[in-house]
Amino acid sequence: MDQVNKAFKPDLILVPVNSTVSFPNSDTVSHQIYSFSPAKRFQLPLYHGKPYPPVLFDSPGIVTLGCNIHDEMLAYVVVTDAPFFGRTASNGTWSVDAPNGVYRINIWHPRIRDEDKDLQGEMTVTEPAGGALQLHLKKLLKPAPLEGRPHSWDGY
Amino acid sequence: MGRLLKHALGVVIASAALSAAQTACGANYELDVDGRLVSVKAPPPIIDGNLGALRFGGDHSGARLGRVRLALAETFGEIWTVHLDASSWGDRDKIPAGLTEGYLQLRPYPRAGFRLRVKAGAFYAPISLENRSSGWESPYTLSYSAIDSWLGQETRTIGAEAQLDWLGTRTGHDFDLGLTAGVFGWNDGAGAALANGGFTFTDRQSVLWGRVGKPGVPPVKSAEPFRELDGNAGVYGGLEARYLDRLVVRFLRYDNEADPSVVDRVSHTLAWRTRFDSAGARLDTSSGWTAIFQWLDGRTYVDPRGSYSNWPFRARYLLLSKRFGERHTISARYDQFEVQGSGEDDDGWQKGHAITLAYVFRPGTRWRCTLEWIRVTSTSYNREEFGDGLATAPQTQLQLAVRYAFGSLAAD
Repeated sequence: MDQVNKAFKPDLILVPVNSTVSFPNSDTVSHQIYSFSPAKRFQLPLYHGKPYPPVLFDSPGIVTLGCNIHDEMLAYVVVTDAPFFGRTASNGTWSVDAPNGVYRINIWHPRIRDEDKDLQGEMTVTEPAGGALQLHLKKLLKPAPLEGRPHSWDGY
Repeated sequence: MGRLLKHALGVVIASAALSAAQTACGANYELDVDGRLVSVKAPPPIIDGNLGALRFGGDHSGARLGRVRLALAETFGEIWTVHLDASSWGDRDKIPAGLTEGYLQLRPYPRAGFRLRVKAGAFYAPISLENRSSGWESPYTLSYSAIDSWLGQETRTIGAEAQLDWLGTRTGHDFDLGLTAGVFGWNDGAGAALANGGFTFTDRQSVLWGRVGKPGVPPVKSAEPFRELDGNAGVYGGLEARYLDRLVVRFLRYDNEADPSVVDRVSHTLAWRTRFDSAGARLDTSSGWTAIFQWLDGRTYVDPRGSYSNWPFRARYLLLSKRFGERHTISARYDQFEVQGSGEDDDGWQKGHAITLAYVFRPGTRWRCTLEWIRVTSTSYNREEFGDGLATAPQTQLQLAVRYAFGSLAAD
C-alpha cells in the first residue's frame, strides 16, 4: 500500500490472515502511519525513499489506517480468514469459482453504517441454478470522502 | 510569571531558530513572492496611522508588494517539528521583516483513539476557519474577514497550547472531537488598534513584536499588541467537532487577563484587557462548495488611574465559495462589524459591512493568481473626528495578485 500525493494508494486492500503488507512512500514528504484497530496496532515512520519491513496482519478484522501528520489520509486493510474473498470492481461485481454448497456471505464497505449482523446471510449455491441472497441496507450511506481539494487548504 | 515565561520562550525560539539554521540546507522550506496591482479608493491604512479600512489606501494604487514569505519546517526524531514563518509586507513597520509564527510542536502517535499535540512558541490560536492555507492565508480571498484581519493584526499565542483529540473517524464513528487550552503572554496591547481604528480588511499580519500605526500620529497612534506589562498570563480554551471531512465547528473563549489599570512607566503604554468568544462552522461539499460562518463577540477596556473606557466589539461573516476542479475558485463574503464607543461621545464607535468577491486561479502548486474586489461601507466616530470629512463614503479596492512559491514545502 503506497503513499502517493498525500493519500494511501489503494485506499483499501483485502488480505488473508497472516499476510504481510509493505508500506512504501512515493511522496517527497514524510508520513507517520498508525493504526489502533484491535485487529492490528502499529505505527511506522515513513521517510521518503527509506523502505521499512512489511507489517504482519495476523488476526482477522478491519484495520483503519491514518497518518499522524496528514489527518486527511485514511485507508483500510481488511484482514479475513474466509476461504473466498475479494474487492468488488467499480461496477459492483466480483466473481470466484466456488464448489456447490452452503456459504455464509459477509459484505463490508467503509461507507456502510449498518451493523455487521445485517450485512451477512447464508446462500446455497447449486449448479446450474446458482443462488441468491438479498441484503437491504437500513441506514443511509456515509458521504464519500471529498476529492479534488488542494492539499494546501489544510494547513490550519 | 511573565519573566519566567519570557525566558522559557526565549530558549524555545532560540533553539528552534538554531535547529532550523543547522538543518536549513536539508530542511523543507517555502519561499513565496506575492506581487500586486492595486486600485484603491480609501483613506491611508491603519498601518500608516490612518483610518482606512483596507490594506492599501491613499496614494497606494499601482504595483505593490503583497508579501514575501519564508517558511521552514523540520522534523526531529519523528514526533518533534519546528516551524518558522517569516514575512515582509513592503510597508513601514518598525520591523521590516519578522516572524509571524515560530514554534516547536510535539505530536506523539495516537493511542487508543486519543491524540495529544503540544505547541510552544508563537502561533495562531485555532479560531479562523477561512485562513486554512500555509502562512495563515485564505485560499478564498486576498483580504481576510474583519474577524481574521483583527486576529492577524493584534493577537498571537506567545506561549504554549495543548490539544487533545478523540479520533472517532479512526474507530468507526462519524465524528472527531478536540479540546484546546492555551496559555500566553505578550498580548497586553491587543485591543488598542481595534478601539482606535476599528475593524479593517487586510491580509497584513503583524510580525512578532511589530507595530500597528505610527508613533505620535493620531488617530491610530502606535499600537503595540505584543507587549507584556503586568506579568499576568492570558488563557484560552476551545472546542472543535468534525463530522467526517465535511463539517468543522469551532468555539473558543479568549482572555488576555491584562490588568487594565497598568500603565508602562517608561512608554506610558496601557494594558488592554481583551476578552472574546468566537464560534464558527465550515462546510465542504462533494460538489466543491464551501460555506463558512464565523462570529466573534468581545470587549476591550482600559482603566488607567481610574479613567475607565470600554469598547465592546462584534463581527460576523458568511463566505460562500465554489471550487471548479483544483484550479478555479470563486468566492463571495459578506461581513458585518461593530465597535461600540466609549464614554458619552462614543469615542471609537464604528459600524459597517463589507462585500468581498474573489476569483483564484491555481495553474499548479506553485503559481496562484487572484483577482479581488472589496467594498467596505462604514460609519465611524474617529473618521468623523479626525478623518477626511467623508466619514460614510464606501471604500473600495481592486487587487490582482500573482504569487509564486519556491521550495519543497510548496511542491505538494
